[in-house]
Parts: sequence; structure tokens; C-alpha cells
Amino acid sequence: MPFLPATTVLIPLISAGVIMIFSKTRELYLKIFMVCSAVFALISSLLMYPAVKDGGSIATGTGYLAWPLSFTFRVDALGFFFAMVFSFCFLLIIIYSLGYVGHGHARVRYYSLILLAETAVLGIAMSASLVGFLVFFELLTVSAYLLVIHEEDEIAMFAGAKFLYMSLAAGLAIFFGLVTVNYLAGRTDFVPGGYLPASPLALYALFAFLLGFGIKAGMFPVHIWLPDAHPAAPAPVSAMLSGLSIKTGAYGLIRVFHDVYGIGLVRELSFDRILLALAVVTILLGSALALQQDHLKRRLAYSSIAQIGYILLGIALLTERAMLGALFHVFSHALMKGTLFLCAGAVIVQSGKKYISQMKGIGFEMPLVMFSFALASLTIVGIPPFNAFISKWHLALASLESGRGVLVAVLMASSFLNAFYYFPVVITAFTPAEPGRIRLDRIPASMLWTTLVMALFCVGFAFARPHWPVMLASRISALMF
Amino acid sequence: MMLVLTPVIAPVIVAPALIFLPERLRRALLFLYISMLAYVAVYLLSGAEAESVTLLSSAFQERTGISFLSFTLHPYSRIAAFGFTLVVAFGLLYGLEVASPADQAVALGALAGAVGVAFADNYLTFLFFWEVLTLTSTALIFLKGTAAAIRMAWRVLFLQLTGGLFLTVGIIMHYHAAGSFALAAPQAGLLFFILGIGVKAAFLPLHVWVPWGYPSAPFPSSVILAALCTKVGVYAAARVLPPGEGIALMGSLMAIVAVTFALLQSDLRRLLSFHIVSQVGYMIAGVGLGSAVGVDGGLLHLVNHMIYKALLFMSAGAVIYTTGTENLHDLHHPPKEESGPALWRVIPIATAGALVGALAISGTPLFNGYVSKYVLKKAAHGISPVETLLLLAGVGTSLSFAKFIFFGFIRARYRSLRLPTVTMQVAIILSAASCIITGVWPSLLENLLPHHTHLHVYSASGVTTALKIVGSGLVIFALTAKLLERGIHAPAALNSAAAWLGAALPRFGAAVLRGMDKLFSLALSLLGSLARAVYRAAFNAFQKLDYRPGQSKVFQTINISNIDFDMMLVVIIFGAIAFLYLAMTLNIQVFYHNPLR
Repeated sequence: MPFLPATTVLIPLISAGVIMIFSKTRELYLKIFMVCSAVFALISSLLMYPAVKDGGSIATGTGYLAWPLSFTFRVDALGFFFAMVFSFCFLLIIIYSLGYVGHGHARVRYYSLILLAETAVLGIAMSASLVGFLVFFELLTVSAYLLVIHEEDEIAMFAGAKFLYMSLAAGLAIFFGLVTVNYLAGRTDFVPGGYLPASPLALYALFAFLLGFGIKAGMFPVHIWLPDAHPAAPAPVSAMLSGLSIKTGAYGLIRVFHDVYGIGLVRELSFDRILLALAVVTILLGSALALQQDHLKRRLAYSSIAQIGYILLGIALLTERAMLGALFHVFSHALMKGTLFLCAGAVIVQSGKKYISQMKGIGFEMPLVMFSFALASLTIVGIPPFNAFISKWHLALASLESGRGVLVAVLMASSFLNAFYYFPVVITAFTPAEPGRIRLDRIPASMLWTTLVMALFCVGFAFARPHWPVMLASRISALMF
Repeated sequence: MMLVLTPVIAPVIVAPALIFLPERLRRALLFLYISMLAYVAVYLLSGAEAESVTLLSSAFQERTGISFLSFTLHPYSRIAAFGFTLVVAFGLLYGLEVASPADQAVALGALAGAVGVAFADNYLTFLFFWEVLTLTSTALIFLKGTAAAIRMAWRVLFLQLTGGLFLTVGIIMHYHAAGSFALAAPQAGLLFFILGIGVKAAFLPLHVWVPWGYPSAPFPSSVILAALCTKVGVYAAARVLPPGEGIALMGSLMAIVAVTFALLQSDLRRLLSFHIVSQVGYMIAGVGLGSAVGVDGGLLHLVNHMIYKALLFMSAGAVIYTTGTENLHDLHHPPKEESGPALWRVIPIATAGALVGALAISGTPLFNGYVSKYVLKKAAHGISPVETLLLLAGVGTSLSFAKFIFFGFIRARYRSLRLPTVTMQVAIILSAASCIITGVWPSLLENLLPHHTHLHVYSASGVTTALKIVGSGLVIFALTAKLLERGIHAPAALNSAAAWLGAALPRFGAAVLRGMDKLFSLALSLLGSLARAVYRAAFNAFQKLDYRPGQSKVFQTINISNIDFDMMLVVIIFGAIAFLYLAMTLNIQVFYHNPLR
């Protein structure tokens, strides 16, 4: 069914438009419509599985702009993997949002913007060329900026401005890279194995790509927008930014490394070593800084920086197993960090507490939410056999196989730090301030069960049989090398 | 096989149920669970068939063929699991009325972890249950809830998690070298295995968590902790680590050094904790020798030790429950208004239990400690430093337990608040009975030994040696009782150089960490404020450019025929882009590079 990549992107786009136009209708209808479109986007992306599972691809052409600037929707196994993660997490986040912004201001704006953001991330995963990628990248910047400043207070405006300027800079950097690629090779699409000829200009373009995607992904020297934007945004938006939006940076790097430059050229320009060094610094710095935060969402944001470091590490090693680890970490981190941010949002909604030091005994007031938090933190620390352990395992083995044993030490040190900034939250939450009875959570039902479902998926996927996320990731990485 | 796995699987349902059920139902359920554990222990003793079970397979199976949660009944696991289930059944019975529901639920989890490690078929399962035990055993300490206990629990968690990470690194390296998860001697990364297992098994510099953690837990939980944590380490050492002189020597050093520390303690449970390290040293020595007799002796001592150490912790717990203190100084010389009759008259059953435990741990004939110590001595015979060190440690043990009984029970005169509950006393009686029964008829446990050593232990020379050791301990005690008494009553700061040294090391480490933290945060705050200043300046400039078009004083002065500077910028950028695009489509070369390169 060749129209599937296009429908996956267009369903949320059109729905966003419809919601904007019919913003005066009863809100219940808008909510139902929004959830339905998210479900259809999920179904549409899952339907692509049979076509892509053996390395095939589906393409939908559009006549927009003339060659070489035309952009086409095309999906292959890698794009499918990201689209699946994105559309699934978006469905849960959208349902959660119904409860979270349910009584706040500017709800219709929020609904249409979150669908636009879904369009953007799915479009990024579906693009067949750098041009389409850039278009949706900019759409993501704009929609995510407006979502970050949803609260419209001073903190949100400052964080939003920082996010906007840096994302725009990222867009410009990618634009420079795109122009250069087009100049050097006369094409901008993604071809397995790459096509760019070696030239000094290619080095500058790759640097620009690294800067652009690095800003989006929250890589070390340009991560600074991330710890401000996450706490300022509403919780579901933080979950979206951290779980999905920063993965688009990693996705872009994978595409540029493998499908534009080719790993031979990347090695020749020794960019794998640069990225490796940056990834190691990102992991250690993110973990070390997370340890010092008292603001829960800020701690989670720094942890996201550390976790994106794992993914960059897997990309930088340029081996099959490392890619498997990186891809699977995209999957597991989206679920884990999604859960953690949703829990943080639930805590804010019920009790208004934002700081970990205030959360003494909160586990007895909202046991299900904090149970989900505990499950997700067990997963993120890498207790075998849960999701993150699988990815960390493959990353560690890959670094041993490529003869860099010291990376194992980095991974383990980071796991250790993970334990020491996640367990205190759980332990503080379950240390009673005064002896009291356990009560059930008092938050909207849609928030509660989406959080629980996500938490159970963090743990439950370790026991799926056959374990198709790992199978898929391993098949994709086998196709790439 | 499924029957013996119930302690591993059932807590998933039973533990949450224990928290939420009302009081009566909870006790009934826990009692059922205890009977089930006892039945499992008896079943293991009667000779369960060796077989393998796979419960859940995980993602790893897709690439490695090894499934998560697969279990097998190794001869070593049978004897270890027998000890775990039996002693934890006693421990749960002991805490039936006095432990909090959360404590009981977590204790079930800890048992699941220990039994899971014992039955694990591959490294993955092993590591999972290893971490389960780490988390649950620390949770038992956290649940005490006092500030001191939480501080200690953090330290324990820190050490244990470090150990778990070392083990993970070891397993990754082993897998890299061997290509399989099978539970075999490590082919690479032996150092990481030793460090990782060493934390759990309390190898010498790493043993500190035992005296930190065990006395900090609630007293019924101490019984569970004493039965499980270090013994799992011993089991892992027996199963995984290759035997060697070094390990045997480490074991005997543990035995003697910890006894020395134990002599200086004046808290009941701290004293017992140091004895755990010491007795674990015996087991490690036996396991490290690697001979059939040595391994059998080590594992038999594992079971015997669990029984009598649980008994001792139960008796100490009874003292705490009755008087509210465990400090020997307070017990011995209470303030006037708080003194009462001699404690052994108030709690005769606990005193008798403590006496049986003390006799067993010092290796008196007719008690179970004698049996395993005899086997260990036979294994160590002729291996010079190990044999002597173990003998000396035996003397130290009986000396220190003479002190434990004399000052903690016979001479103690603290007033009693309440009497031990019925189940506490029943548990004490049952454990004491098992100590004596397995001591008098040692062949009962012969069936469990992996190398089928015959337990004909009552030879004339063995009995006389044992009596000599116990007797010399008692004689030394009679001679030094005054000195020991003064040691108990000395102010805490002057207690001993060793105690000070023991405390100084962690304090030094904490000071270093705190200093590093200070430096780090100072540098960070400097860097942060600098970066913030730069960014604020940059963004303010941007916002001026962005939000007040046509109103900025700077840009009003530079305008060209009514076009504002900011508009001009936009026009120039678009122009540049358009020019580049045009150049590209018309194939005009804009960028030149040096053709000579």
C-alpha cells in the first residue's frame, strides 16, 4: 500500500488543521477526534511493517518543488522503527494530555499543536531526503516552541526563547549541510551506503550536520537548552521532547552517517572518533549533573542528556552490534523517560510538588504513580533483564569488540550514577513523613492508566516472546552493515 | 522442580497481599507460607531430582539462545537452598507477630532473591536475582525509617551496587571471551568476579557493610539478613570462582581479623555481625581449598551457620524486644531506676537459645557447629597458615561468646518492658532444636552434601581438640573478664584504637567526597553563572532585534531610505539563499577549492 507513509504524516497534520478550524465546537468532540487521529496514525504506521520487515521500502511521491528539492515520503525498516516508537508514545502522551491540560487555559491551541508536533516527528521518520527532513525539522521546532511556552509564565518564556534560538541555529546548520550536499553530489536523498564524494567541503558540511543534530539531540557542548526547556514545559510535552523529539537528532545522525556520507567517508574524516568523545562526555556530564538537581523534572532532563549519550555512543562505534544497542535504546528510553516524566507530571497535578526534597512520603498518597516511577527507574538503571539492560549490554559488548574496553567503564559508571539519582526519589517517596494509611491516587483516570501502561511496557517488553523490538533492531542493524 | 521454585515465584503475589490484607488474614497467610517453606526444605533434604526448568524467556534468547529465568538443581544449589528456606521459615515465624507488614513482604522478596541465585542456570538469571537480593536486603534496612538507619542503608546500598556493577562487568567480559552465559568458571575478568562476589561474601576490606547494615535493621529483619546476604556470596564463590590458595587464605584472614574486631564490640548485634564475617571466613577457606572435603565442609558450615546465627540474632532480638536496648553497658549497669532482676530469669528461653547458639558457634561437640568445623579442619589439615589461623579464630570465637552470654544475659539487669511473644519463643526453640539434632545426628544432612563426604565426626581426637579450643577460650575469659568489662564500660570515644580506625576510614572517605563535591559545585556554579551571563546578554540582544522591530535606537540610526536594519537583514539573507540556489541550478561554481590539494 504505497500511500501509507503519506497517510501516517498527513492524518495528524489534517487533524491539527481541522481542530484549529472547528475550535468553537464542543471540546469533547475535539478530544475524541484528536485521540482517534492519533490511533489512526499508529495503525497506519504499524501497517507498514510487512512491507519493510525484510529490507524493502515504500515510497509516496509528491510533486512539490522540482528535483532536486522535491520531497518524497519513503519508509524503510529504520524509518519504520522510529515511526513506530514515535506514534505509539504519542498516542499515550496525547491521552495523558487530556487529563493534564483538561482544566487549564488555551486547550485547543495545545491540542492542535501537539498533533502538529506528531506530524513533524513522523514526517522526519518518513522523509526520503534531507529536504523533507529539514521541512519537518523546522515544523518540529515551531510546534515544540509553542508547546514549551504553553504555561506563558516568565520561566517558560525564557526557556522557550533559548530553545527556539538554538533550534533555529540547528535548522540553519542543517540547511548549510543540505546545500553543500546538493552542491557536491547533486542529490539529497537517502541511499543506503551513501554517495557523497570525498572533498574538504564535505568535512564542513558534516560539522554543520553534527552541530545541527547535536543541538536537537542534546549533545554535550550544545545541550544547554534542554535542562531549561524540560522543567518549564507541561509534563506531557517534556515527555514528548525527551522521549521523542531528541531522538530525531539521533535519527538524523544515523541517516547522514549511513545514507548520505557512508561509513567509509565518516571514518576517513574521523568523525566517528569526534562523536565518540562527545558521547562519552555527554554520558558522564549528564549523569554527574543530574546527581546535583533537586528539581525532579530538571533531574530527569539531565538524565535524558546522559541517555542520549548512550545512543550517540552506539552510533559512533559504527559496528552492527553497537547500532543494535543504540536503536534498542531509542525504544527503551522513549518508554522509560516517558513514564518518568508522566509520573512527575502526575505528582505536580495532585500535590503541586516539584522538588524531590518535598516528596517525603508521597508514595503513600499516590502509590500507583510512584510504583510506575519505581519500575521505570529500575529499568533505567539497567537491572537485568529489563529493557535498558539489553541495550547497555549490547553497547558494552560492542565496545569490547571494537577494542575500547574503557567505554565499558564509562557505561558502568553512568549506570551507577543512574542508581544514585533515581533511587533517592523512590526511597524518599516511600519513607513515610508520618505513619499513615495508603490512599489511592487522586488524578484524572486518563493520566493514571497511561502512566501505568507505559511503566508496564518498560518492564514487560523484556519478556515479550518473540521479542520483536530487538529482532527488528537487529535486522535493521544487519541491513546497515 | 516447580515445588522448590515456589519461594522464588510466589512472592510476586504473596508479598503485595501481605501489605494490603488485614491483620488476621495476613498472619494466617504468612503462617501458610512458612509451612510451605518448611515443606520445601524437607523435600530438598529428602533428595529432589536434578532437572532444569525454563520459566520466562527474554529478548536475549533471540540472539544468544539463553533464556532469562531458567533454573536448574545443581548439587551446590540444593544444600544452599535448603538452608535458605529452612532458616527464613524460622525467621518469618519469629517475626510473625512483631514485624511490620512491609518488613515481612520485603523479606519474602529477599528470600526469592537468594533462592533464585541458588537455582540460577545461567549468568543472566544469576545477576537478576543477585540484584533483587541487593535491593530487597537494603530495603529491609531502609524500612527501619530512623535517620541513622537510612544513612547506614545508603552506605550498604552503595557498596552492594558497586559489587553488582563489578559482577556485571565481569559477566560481560566472560561472555565476550566464552560466548556463552552458562554458569561456569570465568574465562575473563576474574578480578571483577572476585570483587563483585567479594562484596556480598564480605571479603576483608569490603566487609564493612555487614556491621553497618545488620545492626541498623529492625530486629526481626536482622535475622533474615543474617541468613541470606553473605551466604549467597559464599554460594557464588563456591559455584563460580575457581578455588585457589589466595581465596582460602583470604577466608582464614577474615576468620581471625573479624573475631578480633568482634571482641571489641559492646552492642549485641554488632558483635554478632562481626562473627558473621568471621564464620563466613571459615566457609570461604573451605571453598577456596577446593578439595571435595573442603567444599563439603564449607557448604555444610553454610547451613549450620545460618541456623545458629539466626538463633543468636533471635535471642539478641528478644533482649531488644524485652528491654529496648542492646548495648552491653546499659544492660550490665543500668541507671538505678531502670534496673531489674537478672535478665536470664526474665527470658529463660531466649537465654537458653543464646547458650545453644554460643556453644554451636564455638564448635562444642554435640552441637552442629562442631560437625562442620571438624570437616573444615580435616580439609585444612597440613595447609600451614590456614589451619593455624582457623584454630586461633576458634579460640577467639568462644572467648567472645562467653562475653556475649555473660554480660548480655547472665549479668544483665535491665528492667523489662514486656516479654517475648509466643511465636518468637517457638522460633527460638525450633532453631535451637535443629542445632542440637543436626549436631547429635550429623548423618541427617549427609544426603545434601555435593561430594558425599561421610560425617563420622565423633572421634576421640576431634572431640578433645574441640574441647581444648572451647576450654581455652573460657579460661582466657575467666582471666580477662575484668578487662573486658572495663572495655564495655569505657566511653565510646576511647573504646579502642581499632574502633576509631574502623570509623576513621569511612569518615576520611566521606570528607574527601564532600571536598570534591564542594570543589565540583563551586566550579560548576562559576561556569554556570558565566554561561548564564553570556546567554542572557546574547538572548537579550536577540530579543531586542526580534521583538521591537523599528524601535531599537541602534537600528534606527543605521537605516537606508526608510528600510529598517532588521528588515534589511532578512532581505539580505533571502537574497543570499536565492543567489546560491540560482547559482546551483545554473551550474555556476560559487565555492572554489584549491586544485593543488
